[in-house]
Amino acid sequence: MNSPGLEHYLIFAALLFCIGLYGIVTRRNLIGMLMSVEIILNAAALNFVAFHRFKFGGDVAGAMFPLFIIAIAAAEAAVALAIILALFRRKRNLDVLSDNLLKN
Amino acid sequence: MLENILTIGNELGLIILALTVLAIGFLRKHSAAGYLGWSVAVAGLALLSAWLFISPAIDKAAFGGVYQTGPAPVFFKQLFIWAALLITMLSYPGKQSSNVLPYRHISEYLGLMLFSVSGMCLLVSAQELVMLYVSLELITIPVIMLVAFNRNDPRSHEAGMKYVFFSALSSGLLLYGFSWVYGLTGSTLLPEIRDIIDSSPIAVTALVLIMAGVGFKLAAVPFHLWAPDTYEGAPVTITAFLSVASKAAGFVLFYKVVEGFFVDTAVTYITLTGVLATLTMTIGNLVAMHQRNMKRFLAYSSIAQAGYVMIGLSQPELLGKTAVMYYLLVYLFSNLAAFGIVTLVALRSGREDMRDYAGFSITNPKLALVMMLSMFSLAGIPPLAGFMGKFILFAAAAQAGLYWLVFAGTVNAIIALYYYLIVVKWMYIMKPENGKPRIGPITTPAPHAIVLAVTTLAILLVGILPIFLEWAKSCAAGGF
Repeated sequence: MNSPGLEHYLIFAALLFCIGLYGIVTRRNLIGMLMSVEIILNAAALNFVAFHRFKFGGDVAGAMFPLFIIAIAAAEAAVALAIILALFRRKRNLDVLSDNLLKN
Repeated sequence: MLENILTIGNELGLIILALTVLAIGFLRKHSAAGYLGWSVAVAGLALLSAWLFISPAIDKAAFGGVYQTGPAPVFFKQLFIWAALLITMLSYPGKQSSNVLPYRHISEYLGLMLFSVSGMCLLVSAQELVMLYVSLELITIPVIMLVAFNRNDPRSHEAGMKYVFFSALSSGLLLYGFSWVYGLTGSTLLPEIRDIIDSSPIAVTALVLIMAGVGFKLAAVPFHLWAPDTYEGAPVTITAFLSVASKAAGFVLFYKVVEGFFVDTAVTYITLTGVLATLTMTIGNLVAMHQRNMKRFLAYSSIAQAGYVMIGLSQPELLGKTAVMYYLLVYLFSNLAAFGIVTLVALRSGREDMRDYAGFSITNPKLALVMMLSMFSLAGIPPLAGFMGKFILFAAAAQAGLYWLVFAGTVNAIIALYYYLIVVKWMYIMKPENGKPRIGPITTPAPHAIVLAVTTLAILLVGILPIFLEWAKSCAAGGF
């Protein structure tokens, strides 16, 4: 049995990145868009951890970076959810395209 | 350790100031706290600016090379602090309450802005990817809250929503690019990465991702979609902050992670930035022509102005850097003069439409004059500062042999002149309907008057006095 190597993780992260990018382009629901963005951030974090584990074991930066990514993504999600909540109170739906006040 | 802390004294000062102003907002409710918070913010920013001015701008590293200051970082820090100071003064909590500015929560508002400025100052000094990312988010997250700050205005929420998704997406792209850069080089220190990184296909892919992420921050053209909506919906002073300080921070980021990493692929770099600059200028200018909302108009104008600055980015020599820094200085004053007038008008009369400015020169001759000067400076009419700025940008491109870029810039300057003159036409030539101007005489509070006087003086003098250009040049020589 071969255990998964660096390439497997990198391909997995690349897939996650593409899923996230596809999601943010096609989703019309705000929560769905937020999830897509988080998936992109996770792809980056996974890349860092994989590189740390398989290539640069001695360097702590690769293991440390994901912690910062997770913490800041949480802060960003909190702000995004607060804004989404404020929008929902007014519009009663979470569709990005419904009655925009600012012209596109 | 103590020496390290002293080196980052300026950023620490900003963070302490931000916490103090926030605390004032929490301590006491209602009007007096607003004035106190505002005065503390103005005094603190002025002190920090003076401190930066008198402390010698020499190369100095702290925390094992993660933080680095020097002439170029000090130039940008001074720029950010000036922008924050002028915008804080424009946010003066006057006697009239209004929906345009969040006066009831002025301390929270200023505190958030100060956090964002401290993030900018850290970004200029960051020499490591983790710190770069953290300071970038320290800039962005408070600004998201500020964009959505007007609780009663649904447009403000919508602007905040657009900004939060686009900025999160841009940090996602940036981070994914960073992760590949780390994978290729095994280091997160920028100087080490610059030494190791090559021009393999993976490195170029990573750089394109990073460039896209930075492009969002700069509102460069394929990535500019968030900017007009966010600028229109945000409180008008925050629009000013976004278009001046946040944009300058984007250029710093560009120098650090795009220009710095493109070592072997100089030709690709020049072509890419040149094309990006041309697109940004052209689209920004062509769309700006049709705008009648003043904030939206200034949003597209600032997209176009960022395009001019990117001409300087495509010239990696000293002159290119000098041109970028000098133009950002010029743009700070020219744009803030325009925003000062738009803020005052929106505040006093609630009007944001260009057509409302008919007869403005009759009711407010002094304000109209300031607006005209700032429009002329943004358009680049000699002898104002904007002309000198554009001249040096074009000279830098010509020195690098990029004549097509100079041509594109000149054509765009002519297009821009047309729509900046439309504003002047509405103020000076168009007769108001029914013979009665929609904007009555406006009394200017002292802080606004000071901002307008300072910016007007700068528009008139920065282009003529050589000392500012010399300053930019000597700072640009230091590098990041």
